[in-house]
Amino acid sequence: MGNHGDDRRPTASERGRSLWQSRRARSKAGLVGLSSAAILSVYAAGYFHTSADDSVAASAAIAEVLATSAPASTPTTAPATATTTRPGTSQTTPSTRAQPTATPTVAAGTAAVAYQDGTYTGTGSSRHGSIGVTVVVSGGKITSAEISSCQTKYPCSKVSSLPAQVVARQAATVNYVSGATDSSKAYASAVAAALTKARV
Amino acid sequence: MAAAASDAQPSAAATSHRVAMDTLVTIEAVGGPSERTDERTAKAFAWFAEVEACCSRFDPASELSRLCDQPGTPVHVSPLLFRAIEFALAVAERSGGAFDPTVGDAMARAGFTENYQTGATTGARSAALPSFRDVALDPATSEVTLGRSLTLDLGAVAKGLAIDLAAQELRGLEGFAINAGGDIYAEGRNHDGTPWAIGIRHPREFDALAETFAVSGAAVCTSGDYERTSSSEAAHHHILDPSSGRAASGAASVTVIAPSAMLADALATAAFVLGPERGIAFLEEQGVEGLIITPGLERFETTGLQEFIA
Repeated sequence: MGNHGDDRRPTASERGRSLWQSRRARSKAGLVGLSSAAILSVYAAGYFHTSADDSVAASAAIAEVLATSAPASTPTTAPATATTTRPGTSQTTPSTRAQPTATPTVAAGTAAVAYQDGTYTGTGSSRHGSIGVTVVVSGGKITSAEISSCQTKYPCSKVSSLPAQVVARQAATVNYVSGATDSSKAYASAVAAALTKARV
Repeated sequence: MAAAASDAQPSAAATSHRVAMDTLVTIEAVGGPSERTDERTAKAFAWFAEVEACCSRFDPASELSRLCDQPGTPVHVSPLLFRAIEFALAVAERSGGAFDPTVGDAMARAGFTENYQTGATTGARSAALPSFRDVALDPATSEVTLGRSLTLDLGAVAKGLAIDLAAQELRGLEGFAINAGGDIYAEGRNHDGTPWAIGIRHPREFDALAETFAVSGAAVCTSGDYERTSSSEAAHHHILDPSSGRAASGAASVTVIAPSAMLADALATAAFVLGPERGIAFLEEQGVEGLIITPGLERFETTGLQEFIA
């Protein structure tokens, strides 16, 4: 990591960029540059295969806003891992990071998603078949997301661990998980469909 | 300290889902007036439809399929298809063929044939094992020439490209994340005002995470041997070694962190085929970060990976 040498602390995305700039300098091979150039030129060229207006209208109709949060003004205790770690900053700003602020302002990860209590059903499908779920929300939190029907080509035991994950991940400190299995798609879609009905 | 306090302000966040490219796509937008955010999110989703209409091997009407139906003839293609093929060929070249977009027929023979929307199946065009060297590009005319009968598979490029194009629509928001079936791009801050925390699925224990990264302005893509098992062969996952046409077996999962999802996804596939030692060396050479977990659960990392570990 280079020394930024100014008083203003770089933003997260600036840090990200400087990190990649140093990578780019190290790599003469240029796939990083080629991918950026490709993305920008395709973006500039616009739509060829679908009508932009049609697509936007269709996805506006399909896209469902699941959770809109107005964060609570009451300070809450943050989960330990969510507040203190930043990529690539440990060398550059250790003293700033270590100082506790007078009023903690970081909400817990679950605060942003508000659901109305009740029982909701949803179905989802993939190339392997379809899955139905029943999601129970209590006290604003998902307390269960059981599989109510399973018509898939793969054995249903393959997705039997997923309901526990949904409940556990609410309190988890991660925003997203990379490397999702294909078999979980039908289940994930079903839960998303059920939660659409539960949003406040 | 004002700077430290504003560092972690919670913000409004909106999450939308849609099925595209045979996967669940989730877009989360943080901050900003909601009408503007909704419009940007709709445009972002529209790119998935656009890329799918262009690059799907499973759709006989896609521009890609029409190109593959005309071997031996220069075919003028759209900027999207030209750039996707150009990038795929560059990765093939740099990886010495470990990544090769001409594996389409081998994929079809391995049983990856079904169109998830229609259920219709697409067969292989040729029984031969072609190579990326059978594809010629002319940037001056935007023409692609297939030197022999073959099927291009842009699966490891197209989904990433769609994510990156969607990211272009959302750029400028306080923060956003795009998750297409476990391939993720995240920028700015999450609704808690902190960098995005991205877990990496454990390749053998599906309830567990193998690692957690904190990212902002980066893509995180994982290729695993547990994904997309074909129906014809239970033990056959979707990452084929182009030199043999059979499933690669040196890694259980490869995660790449890179500035774009197209790059991360393609390099994860290449490193998967190369195996742990050569895979890490290749990722270092390309200037991206990576984590390779072997079937025996050994970890191999690039030197800069630690900077991202949360």
